[in-house]
Amino acid sequence: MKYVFLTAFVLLALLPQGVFGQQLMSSTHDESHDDIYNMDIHELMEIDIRTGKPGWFGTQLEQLEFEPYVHGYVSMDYRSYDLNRGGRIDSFDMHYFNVIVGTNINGEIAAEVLLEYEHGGDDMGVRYGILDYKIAEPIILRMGKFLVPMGRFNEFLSPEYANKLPDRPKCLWNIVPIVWAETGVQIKGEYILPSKQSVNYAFYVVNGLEQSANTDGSVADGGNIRDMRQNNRDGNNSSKAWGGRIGFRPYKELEIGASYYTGKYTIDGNQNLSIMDFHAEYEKDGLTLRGEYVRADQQTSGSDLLKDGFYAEAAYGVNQFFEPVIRYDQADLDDGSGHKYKRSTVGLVYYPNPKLHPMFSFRVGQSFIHDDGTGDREGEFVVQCVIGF
Amino acid sequence: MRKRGHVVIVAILAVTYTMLSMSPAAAETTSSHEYRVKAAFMSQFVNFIDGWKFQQKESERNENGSNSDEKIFVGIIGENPFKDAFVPLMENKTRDRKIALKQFRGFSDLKKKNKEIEVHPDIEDIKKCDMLFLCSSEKQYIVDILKPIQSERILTVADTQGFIEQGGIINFIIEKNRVRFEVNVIAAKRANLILRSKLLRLAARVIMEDKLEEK
Repeated sequence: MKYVFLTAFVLLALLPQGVFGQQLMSSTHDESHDDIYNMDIHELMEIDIRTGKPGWFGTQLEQLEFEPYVHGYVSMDYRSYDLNRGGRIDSFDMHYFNVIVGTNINGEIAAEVLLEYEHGGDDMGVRYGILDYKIAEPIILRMGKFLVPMGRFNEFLSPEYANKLPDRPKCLWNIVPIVWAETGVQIKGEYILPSKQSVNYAFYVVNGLEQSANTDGSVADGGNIRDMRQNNRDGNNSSKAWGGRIGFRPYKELEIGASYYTGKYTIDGNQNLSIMDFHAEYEKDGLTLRGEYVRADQQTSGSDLLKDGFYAEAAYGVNQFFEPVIRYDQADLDDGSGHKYKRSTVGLVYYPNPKLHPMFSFRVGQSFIHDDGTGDREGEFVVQCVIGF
Repeated sequence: MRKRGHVVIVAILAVTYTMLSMSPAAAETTSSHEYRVKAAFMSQFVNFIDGWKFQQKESERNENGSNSDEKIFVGIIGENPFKDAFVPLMENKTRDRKIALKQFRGFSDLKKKNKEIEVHPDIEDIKKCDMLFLCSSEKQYIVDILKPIQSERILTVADTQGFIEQGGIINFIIEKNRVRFEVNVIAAKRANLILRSKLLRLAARVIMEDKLEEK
């Protein structure tokens, strides 16, 4: 068949030069001559000269008077064991090469999307895509798919360069399923009080977490909260989930706060899931102390589940290059095993270039598993290089 | 169904071939939309400016009672992007006159051949023009071209960034996909051309000083 095309093309090539071309040229040419040369100067000023030029919507938008930006972050890992996912792995991993594209117009309107390329492209998607509009000084309307304001970690510490250890606490994996994004609307803002104390808030309505049906189509409940994410469009249970977070800074180094989420999570909309989070964070003179307690109340057709856990973390920048870190985390997933996940992790962060602090670092972490939930106690060793750009 | 697909592919090839046959030879003689608009702008400028050479001659002729078929001479210096954009203007009359086109060699080309050259060899012919468009190929030599003609009643036009700052009178710019222009009032004054206030109001930017004035 390719010879048919080839022959057709050759035949066309043998046609007298310009049989079609000259006709096309003369017709388009004459039309625009007549139009343009009879116009007055005001009409000329309204002519769009894009016609016949390369480009599409981007070329149109390029004419607007604000600049888009492209940023991102990269995390390269070597990991001996993956406690959160379960199992020995002994693998190098291009864990994240995430791209952030957006624009910010006069601090009043912002649009931003984070395109996630995880595990060398095995897992790709939109981590978040938001449109922010500042209605008034302390009130921002956020629309789209956003990171749920639940504690501190999910919204502010999930980029790897902001997290001081190469892994996340278990309770923020299976109870607050970070990185956790939901689609909906939110209002948020921060009030600065006359005493320089501040209160930040966020309230939202979203599609909410939803547990998939069983393979036979029957309603499933009591499942892993982490598997309920990515409900980008309500197809089954259209009831909306809602929640919020309040944070208070009595002075600039300390924030304490509480968060709450509630919504129906089964496809029939009969079972409820509530998650709460209490957080505290203190930063001063190179010392960072963080902690969160989380709890989920998950209704089921049988007995309800109560999942809870916490983590506590301390880090200290001994100089501009080195920052040792220690963390303890624990999680009870109420899975009937009687075991609780318990882990201690020590780590060291090395910032080779202080000018890029904290965006560029090498970090090493060694976890000591006291109980992985099944009685296994295999340790987890991770080396990671991270850059935000 | 497969047959129809083949017909579509052959049709696409035919159109592709036709388009290819139009270039580059055909494209060399066909002006772009942008430059047709700019040519139309230049013919419109005639209506918003007074003090032209042809107006002077006109008043002299009126005194003598003679009548002649004077033209508006548009000179283009350098690599001409207008191609045939002025052709319709040469057939119609602007301010009762037809436009005539004169193409001059680029000063940049002349410089390549002779670094010592300081004045364009066709300067006397250039001085006869009513309008002179300096193509972007001349951007390095704007001041060299403008200096000897700055008081010659020639409307100098370009679409090169920094043109009016260097002593040109009108520079085309593109804003939001539309042709706009910026104006140098002091250069027009040097050329004894009077820019009507309406033209200044339409300008995207008006400047009152330039490099030639400083010198």
